[in-house]
Amino acid sequence: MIHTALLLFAFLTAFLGCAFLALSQDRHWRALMERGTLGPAFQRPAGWILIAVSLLVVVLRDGGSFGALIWPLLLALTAVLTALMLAYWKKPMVVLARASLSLSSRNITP
Amino acid sequence: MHIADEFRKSMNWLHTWLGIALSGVLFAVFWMGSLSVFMYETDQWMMPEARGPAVETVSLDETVLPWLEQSDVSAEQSVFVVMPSVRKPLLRVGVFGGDNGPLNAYFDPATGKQVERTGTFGSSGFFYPFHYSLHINWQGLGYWIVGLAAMAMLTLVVSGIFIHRKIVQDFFSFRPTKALRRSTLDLHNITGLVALPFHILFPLTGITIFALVYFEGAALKPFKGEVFDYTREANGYYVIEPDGVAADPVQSVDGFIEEAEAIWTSRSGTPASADYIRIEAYGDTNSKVVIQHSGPRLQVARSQGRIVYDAASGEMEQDFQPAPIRNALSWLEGAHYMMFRPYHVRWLLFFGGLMGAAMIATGLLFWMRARIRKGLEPTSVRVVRALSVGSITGMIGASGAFLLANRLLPLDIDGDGRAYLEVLVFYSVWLLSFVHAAIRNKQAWRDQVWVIAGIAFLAPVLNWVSTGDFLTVSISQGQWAVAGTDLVILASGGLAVFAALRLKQTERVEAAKAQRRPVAGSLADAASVPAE
Amino acid sequence: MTALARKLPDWMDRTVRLALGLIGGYFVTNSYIGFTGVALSELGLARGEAASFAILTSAFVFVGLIVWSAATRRLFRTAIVVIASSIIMAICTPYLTAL
Repeated sequence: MIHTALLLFAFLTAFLGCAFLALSQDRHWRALMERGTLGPAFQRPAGWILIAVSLLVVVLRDGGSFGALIWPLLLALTAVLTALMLAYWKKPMVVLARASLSLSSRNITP
Repeated sequence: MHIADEFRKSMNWLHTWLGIALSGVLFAVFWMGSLSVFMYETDQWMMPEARGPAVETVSLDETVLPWLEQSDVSAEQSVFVVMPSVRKPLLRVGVFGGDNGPLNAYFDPATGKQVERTGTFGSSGFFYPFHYSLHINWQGLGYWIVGLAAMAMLTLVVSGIFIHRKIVQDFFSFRPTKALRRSTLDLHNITGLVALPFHILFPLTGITIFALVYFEGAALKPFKGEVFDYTREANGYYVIEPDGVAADPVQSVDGFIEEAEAIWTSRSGTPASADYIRIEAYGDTNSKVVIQHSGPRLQVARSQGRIVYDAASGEMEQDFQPAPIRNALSWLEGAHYMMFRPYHVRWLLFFGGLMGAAMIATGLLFWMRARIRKGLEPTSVRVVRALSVGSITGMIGASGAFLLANRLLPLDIDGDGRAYLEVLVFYSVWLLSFVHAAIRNKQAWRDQVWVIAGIAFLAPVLNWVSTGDFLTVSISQGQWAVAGTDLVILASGGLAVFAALRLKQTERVEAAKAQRRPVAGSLADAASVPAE
Repeated sequence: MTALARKLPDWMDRTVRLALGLIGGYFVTNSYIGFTGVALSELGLARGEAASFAILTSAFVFVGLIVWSAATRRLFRTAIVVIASSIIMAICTPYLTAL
């Protein structure tokens, strides 16, 4: 049970990481939100941190030997998924973009 | 010209030339390789008597040894035993060499009784060897073609990275609504980039696994050409010659297996089980029993150990452990062999293989469209298209037809006849796909994708009719190998329908746009097409 | 020679480069595996390890040579280097054991 949950968690962090990295690119941000706006700056480091977390989870779960095989392929899968969702199923991506926008504005205003 | 531009230009033609020359072979290798990820599961689908429930403990003393005594096995012959596992539920014993030719027998580990197996090569006997030898055995030519394709693949990956100008910007970009040329290139870039480590690891290890084929003389230089010195020192594998003095045949091997497994388990810290047993010089005073752990269940690296026992005295003669560099190579090659158990890794590697196949197919398609747009006489277009269609959808359709033939052919055809008929169906369908593509020209893609969809929806039905294992049955019985095969086939059918509908839609859009669009440039221009 | 190479039509120039990269590259890789395997085992590495190392690194040598042959500005010089290095390594390999 805990093993399945950890795998799911690794997948989710890797996917969110890829999604944030995609949102940090102007092209995708503009395609999802109104033209002319820019995504909050925290998205890029957040993306990398989430991807690092997924590595950590994979290594904790399966060890370094299997981890070295699983993690790059997990990233491949989530990156393809991100690209496909940006093309065919934008809604969750828009939700994520809005969420990160409100998250960043909350940080600025005390 | 600027030196970087000049370099990029040379990488561009190199990418194009190697791609055109070898993408047909590369697609076949990646497609068949991807199918081989689940070859033992597909075997269970193709051989109903080999379907579980799997029993992993079996006594060789009660099954294999009596069979060997009955079968007139001589000391000059080699005996091997493949232990049963969840992936391969049947116990297999084989004998090769000698006058009475290769012998094979299968046992059901649950009952210890011998089983007659369906006459088929299965996935592990047809798809799997196809991916490294193309079944061209004359002078080992197939191995060399695949080796050349593997080198080309490595070069294609390197040159591809150099010609791709916007790696970071385009990383997540797939624009299906843009021109077909653009979206094809997007797919080519994405599938290539995201699985980059995979695309380097697999051709690389493909070459190292067959290093003794490609670089035999050179690899054996440190051993003065003695191949057995090499296999013994690097892999702990050596030839056992009979003394020529008859002795009582080996009476028990179960104890050897148990002891070897205990040694490996305590050494690695994870439960280890022997998967391959050899009995050499059977019925001779120099008879030996070799216990191997070549595909550890819970490790990536293969060849984790070979323990040799003297059959008569029961003394351990060798306990081989690979050295560090060999071990690193074993990890890389083990990732290619995928003999391990965890299924999430297997699914991810299957996905990686499909990414490779998709990258090769989209690369070929992109080049073809660019050529046609630049102006190519109709006959050449027809030939190029027929070759592409046949090597992509034709290959997929033929693999599906192979599965259909497996369920449709009558079971009572003698010997290997039935197995060879399945192979005949594969090659006939493949050949027909080229002919059909040449005749139907532009319509060929859509026709063949529809055929693939039809095959994919028919296969699980045939499985149901011929074995009674409908999806609900196999799932409720926990027959995941059979259910999984059915589900993957169904999913590919769904994908084929989607592709066929998309192709139709694209044709309509392209036809409407045909008059308005300017003529396209080369691969380099297209690679830098700005986001419109 | 460079001037001559420039006179070649594109397709011929590229065919020569590919042939040099693939065929010449194969022979260099072959010599490299033999040379490295013997040299490393003479330096004290176990023979199996030396051969495994040579095999593992060989594909990178091969790819490098294909890319270099395709991209070089001085094709003739590259050809000389490729052919010479293959021959020299092959000739030297047996003498390594005598050192």
